[in-house]
Formats: sequence, structure tokens, C-alpha cells
Amino acid sequence: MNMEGLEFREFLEIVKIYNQISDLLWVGDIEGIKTLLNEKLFEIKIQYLEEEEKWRNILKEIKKELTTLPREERDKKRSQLLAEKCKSVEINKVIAGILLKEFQKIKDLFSQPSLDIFFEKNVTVPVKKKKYTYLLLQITDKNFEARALIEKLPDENTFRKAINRIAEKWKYQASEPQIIKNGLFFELFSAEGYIKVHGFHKKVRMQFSLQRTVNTDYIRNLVEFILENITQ
Amino acid sequence: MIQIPFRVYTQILSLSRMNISQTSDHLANAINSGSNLRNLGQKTIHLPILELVNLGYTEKQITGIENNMLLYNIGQKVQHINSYFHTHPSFLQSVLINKYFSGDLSGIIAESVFVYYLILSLGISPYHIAHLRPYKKSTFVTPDFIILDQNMDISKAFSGVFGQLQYNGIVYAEVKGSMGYIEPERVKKALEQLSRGVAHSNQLGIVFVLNRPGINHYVATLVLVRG
Repeated sequence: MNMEGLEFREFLEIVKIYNQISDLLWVGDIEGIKTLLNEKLFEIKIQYLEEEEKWRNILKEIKKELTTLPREERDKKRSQLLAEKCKSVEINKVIAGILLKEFQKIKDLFSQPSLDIFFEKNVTVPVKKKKYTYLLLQITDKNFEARALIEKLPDENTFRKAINRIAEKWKYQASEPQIIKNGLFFELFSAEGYIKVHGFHKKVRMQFSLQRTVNTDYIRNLVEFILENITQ
Repeated sequence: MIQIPFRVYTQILSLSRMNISQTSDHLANAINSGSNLRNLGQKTIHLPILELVNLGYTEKQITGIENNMLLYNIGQKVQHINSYFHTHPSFLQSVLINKYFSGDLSGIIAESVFVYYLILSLGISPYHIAHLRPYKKSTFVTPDFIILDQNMDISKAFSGVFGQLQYNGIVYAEVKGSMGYIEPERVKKALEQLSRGVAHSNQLGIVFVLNRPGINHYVATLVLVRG
């Protein structure tokens, strides 16, 4: 499909990268983002950035023109000017340019050495395994959150078996799981605490509320056991 | 989980031919009264999954809303949730990263329900949807969402109502959430925004309204528009 200069597949690729960055940010995988952008950004077509720049200049002109009008007339005039002027650009190209600029901004932030990073405290580093990447966040001594990125959610059969293994090994009672296309949810209860696990597409989130203080190794083992089982 | 009835406006509106002000009045009236709408049935929304949809596709996050209902009701910002969501160096500022919590959540809930519907009901890939609302203030041209409908899933979903829809696979969407009835002015803004991208192209536009006419009673309405 050709859309006046912007190929559908190129637009699709840009939107896909945007969502992939969002996924990697979910687990704080800065290295993953750098790799993704280094691989993909060389394909950037300058024409999209140019179209975005062209639109920015038009907006500046509109702003300038509006300052000559009384305040109460500006909103109406702005709508009129926007409707008129947007015909002179290809909106899809402008949108592609906006997203590409966002990628560039993120890439620049990660590639430039910054003093800030030396003063940054408690930056949690993601753990990368073969089938998943996860990040463990400690909220309090008894409350934790784990965020994971997996290749894909399991099918219902695998999922039910996984829950049974998790419940049996860690001596928790499992709730009736809910699994739908692109989504899953289950809870684990015991005298030790409560665990809520929910997933959507490639993201999995686990929230732990425990009765006693535990060390992070205990939680890491539990998180990895859950992830190993649901990614089997 | 919650059940939300979905409806679709029975006509596809032509943005290049209509008077937006008059149409907005008529549309708001149709949405609020339930007239000229075709029922699409009740959709089940699993809230734990909606939370994750929300984290991926909106500016603010609705996680923890049950625990913070008191503060939410008085519209107060809940500070600790902000730091709770920091998993990256704080000097990194980007709309993809910054999530914050405030009292005004109806639009965010509507956006989350819309994406949930696209992915879990219509089968659109999560990687084919981009949330562009954060760029709207500075650019005026981006819709709330752009959907790259590679498999024409939207056409398939509404073929029973409108027959085969012809468009180039690109769909712009404007989402409006309201805790009561929807006002014509808000529908007008959505149509004006869509008209900038859709009116002179072979693209499809959607206005999605999620409103709450009564306590615990949400209603979702879709309006399809084209050039």
C-alpha cells in the first residue's frame, strides 16, 4: 500500500519500533533500547523529518499570525488556519517524523555520557534470561513488584499446568486463572502472603505482598520459578 | 471484571461533506439518548489486564485506583505512585516513559478501554497501535491513536453493519471519556481533529466515546468517519 510517499510497511515498522521501545522501558532495558535503535535508525528516511520540520514552521507562522488578533478571536482563527494549512503537508509523514524524532531523542540521551548517571541512585538493572527479561522492584521490606518481558504468553493448557506447579512448589493456593488471547491473570494465596500475576501481550507484572520480611534472593527465586514455568 | 455495552453509530460520516457543528449536536444527542446506534453486545473487560494496557498506551496510569479512591475522588495527585514507577534514570525525560497520576482519569480509562477493545476484541496487533496524544498539544495534527490495520480487522468487525469498508489500512482515532453525558463541544473537537488527517485522504477515522451515565454503568460508542 502506497500512501503518497510513505509506504505502509515503513509506517508499520516505525510504529512497531515505538512499541518495542515501550516494552523495553517496561523492564528498564536501556541496553536493549540502544541496540534496537542502533540497528533500526540507520534506515530513517530524512523526508519524514523534513515534513515534520515543514509542519513546525507552518505552526510558527500560525502562532505569529494569531498574536496580531484579539485574544477572543484566536481559537476560532487557529482552527480555521489549521484546517487550511494542514492540506499543504502529508499528515502521515509528519506523524512518522514525530516518532522518528522521539527515537532520536531517546538514542541521544542514552549515547551521551552524562554526569547525572554518576549521581543516580537505586537504578535497578534488569535480569536477562534466555526466554525472558525481568526487573525486580522493592517497594518495602514486604512488598515487591516484578516486571517481565517474555516472548509470548502461554496457551491455556501450559498456563494451567504452570500455575499448578507454582502453587505446589511454593505452597500457595491458586485462584481460578483467567486466560484470554493476549491476556492472563491469576492470584496466589497462603499464610505467607499474596501474589498477583497479570500479563498482557509480552508484558507480565507480579505484585508480592508478604507477611514477613524476606530478602530479595527469595523473591528472585520465586519470580524466576514463575517465569520459567509460564514461558515453557 | 466489568461488562460494557458497545454500540456503533449506524452511519459512516463524511468529514468533507458535513457541517461539523451541526453534526456534533446530533451525534452527542444520539450517544446520550441511544438513538441511531446498533448494539455490538456486551464486552467483558478484565481489570488486571486493562491495567497493563493502560501502562502501555496512555500518559497517566490508573494502577492502584482502588486503594487511592479517596484521593482520586477529590482530584488530588498521589505523589508516591510517581516514584513507584521509576525504573529508569530520572534524567531521562520522554513521553514514552513519564507516567503520572492525577484526579482526571476518565479520558485515560476511555483510552485504555479503547485499546483493550482493539486488541482483545478486534484482534489488532498491539504493535500496530501508537498512542500519539502526548504530541497533540505541540503539533495539533496527531490524533489520539493511529492504528495500522494491516489485516483490515476493523472492516471485518463492522462488515455486518456497513458492508465491506474501503480504506488504505490507516485509521485515526479520537477518544473521549466522560463521567456523565457527553457534551456536543467535545464531539466537535474530536471531529475537527480527525478532519485534519482524514478529510482529504482514503483513511478511516473513529470517534470512541466511553461515558458513565450512572454509577457503575459505562457505555461505549464508536462512530466511524471518512473523507
